[in-house]
Formats: sequence, C-alpha cells, structure tokens
Amino acid sequence: MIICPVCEEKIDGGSFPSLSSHFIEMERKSDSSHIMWLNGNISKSRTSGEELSRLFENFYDYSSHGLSDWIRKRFVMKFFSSDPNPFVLEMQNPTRYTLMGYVTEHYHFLKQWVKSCAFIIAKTDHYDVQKYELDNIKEEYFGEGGTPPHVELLLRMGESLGLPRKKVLESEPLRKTKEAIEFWDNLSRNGHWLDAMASMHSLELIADRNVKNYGAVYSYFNPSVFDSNLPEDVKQFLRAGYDADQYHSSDALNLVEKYARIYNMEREVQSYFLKSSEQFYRYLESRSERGKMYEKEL
Amino acid sequence: MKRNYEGCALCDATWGDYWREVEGENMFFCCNVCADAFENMIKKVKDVTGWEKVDSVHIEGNYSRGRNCVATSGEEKIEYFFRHEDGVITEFAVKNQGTRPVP
Repeated sequence: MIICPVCEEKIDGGSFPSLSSHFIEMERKSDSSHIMWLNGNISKSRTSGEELSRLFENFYDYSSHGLSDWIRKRFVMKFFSSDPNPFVLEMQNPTRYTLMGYVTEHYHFLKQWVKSCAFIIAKTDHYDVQKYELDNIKEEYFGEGGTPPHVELLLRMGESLGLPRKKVLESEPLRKTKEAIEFWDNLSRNGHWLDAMASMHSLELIADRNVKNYGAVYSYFNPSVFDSNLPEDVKQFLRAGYDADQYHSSDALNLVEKYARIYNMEREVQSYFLKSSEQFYRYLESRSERGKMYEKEL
Repeated sequence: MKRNYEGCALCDATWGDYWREVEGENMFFCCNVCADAFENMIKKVKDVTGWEKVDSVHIEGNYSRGRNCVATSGEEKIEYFFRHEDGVITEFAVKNQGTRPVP
C-alpha cells in the first residue's frame, strides 16, 4: 500500500500512476504542502502525469541496495545535503541559544519517543523487536553502564547553559513540535507497529556518524565541538548521542527491512518514513525557533 | 516588476496555478505560501527603503539557506538577505544599500 507522504491519503491501487494522479490533482489546486514536497523531493519543474509516475518509480526504487539503505540515502538527502535542514546548519557552530532551543523542544520529543517505543512493544510478539525497544527505553530513561539517562543528560546540558530545568519541564512544545509529536503519537497508537518503528528509528540517523558514507555534505555537528569551550555537560550529551545512535539506527533499520519483507509492507514503510521525515524537518525548525526566542528573552 | 524567475516569483517552481496581484501586477506563484512570502518581502523592502515602488527583484537561494536578493527602484538599489517560514518573514538583513545601478 502506498500512502501519500504529505496528507497520508491511501492511494487507490497503490500504484505510482495513482500516486502521480493524486499529486497532479493537488498541485492543480496549488496545494502548498504537496507542491513543497514535489519541489524538495522530485522536481521543481511541472511534468506530465506519466512522467511524474516514472519519477516516483525511480524515487521509491530500493532494489539496488535494499530498503534500509534507501531510507539512509533519502534521509541524508533531506537533512545533510548541500542545502541541509536549517538547524543542522546552526549546529555546525552552535550558539548557547541554539543548544537551549534544542533542550526544550527535544525534551518534548523524548517524552513521545518512549511512548512510541512502548506502543511498538505492545503491538508485536517479535522478541527481537521488543528487546530492541526495551533497550532503547532503558537508555532514554534509566541510562546504561553507569551513564545517566539521555533525558537527564539533556536537562543537564540546558542547566549548564543557564536554562533552568524547571523552565524546560514546565514548557509547552512549539507548534511544529506539537504537530510532529501528534503525528508520531497517532501512528504509534493507531497504526502498524512496523510503520511506527520505521518512522521513529529512521530519525536516529540524524546523529549517525556513518551518514558521510551515504553522501552527506554535513554531519549533525562538527566533532571539534568536543574540543571547544562549551560546558562539559553539553559535550557529554552530544557524545552520548554520537556514540549511541550509530548502532541504534542501524539495528532498527535492519529490523525494519527484515519485517517489511516478511509482511510485504515495503511501500507502506517507505510512505511513513517519508511522512515522518517531513515532520522531523519541521520539528528541527522548532528547535531553531525556540533558540531565537531564548535569545530575545534571556 | 522585472524578476529573474520565469516560474513562481519566489522559488521558480512551475507546479501550481496560484495568481496574486503584487505591486499592481498579476504574478504567478506555485502556492499561497510563496505568494505570502514574496508579498511580505516586497513590503519589507519598501518599509526599509521608503520606496514607493519596486522596479526589479533578483532572488538567489532557497528555503533552507535563505535568499540573497537585489531589488531596485529607479537608480536606487538594496541588497538583502531574508528567510521566511510559512510565508512570514523571520529574518531580514540589509547587506548594502545605495544608488549604484545593478549590473
């Protein structure tokens, strides 16, 4: 089944000509969301329906290196190309306010994260998936091998920059964060666990050091940050993600590929991955927005 | 108004079919978000310069990196950078302003 990566409409027949017809219908209505998606992912130049169908077929083709590599490649193109996400650009030389914005919006993201992991556990009987998600929750909320949990490291990073923990805990997520969280919550709650798993764990590629192998022009942050004058708590938080997410995303995407093949759900998984990465793009913009708010406020 | 794009006045895409009158001219945009961004950007230029009309605008860049622009009115010109989100200008910085004609 193919689902529109913009509006989540189920595409009749699940074919690329049908997906193309849907997009043509929406672009003729000048629908900004669908047009922005076409501009960013397919082409800025109008094509015929037949040509657009062919472009979609190429875009979704994972036959050469498999589904998990297709996800990696698409993620890299969206977030780490020569026109990266604006927050990724900011992270190349982050200010105190950039990192403070990161802390507050990411706190809300993490609270949803563990809920999504829990939904996946509850919905599957596959031991390898359950174990993977339990490990993930443990690391986020309890820590591992004497290392404080990620959420604690995050809050400490904020405090080291002058952002009181209480202020973060009492904050409300910004609009784009809220919308993204609602998407992930709804998918985890009401969708198939495999779609939720692909949607959530593909996002860990943001901190994956292997992105350079997939054509990334940028990495999440410049590793020279570890030699900078930033507080140790900042370095500790960034280092935890830097060390952890490499295996996290790789293990998860291998599981996604394995079960997508078993359940014949490759197209559906691709669709939800694409939708999730759109939401993630906007969520990262919220981090920048929050940082700018702190710059004015604090 | 002279522009460097043949497609959408803001992003040059040729999808969509959205038209809006800006500065007395019916212009093509791919969507309402680009139209909002373009219109708000022109308003900002006029606010900053005090110009009554904008004769030309040249845009380079994209949503991710922001856009570097040159606008002219008669013999005057302004070089600036801007970003938008959902059509609202979130960053606007004048880089240069003067009377030298744009090449």
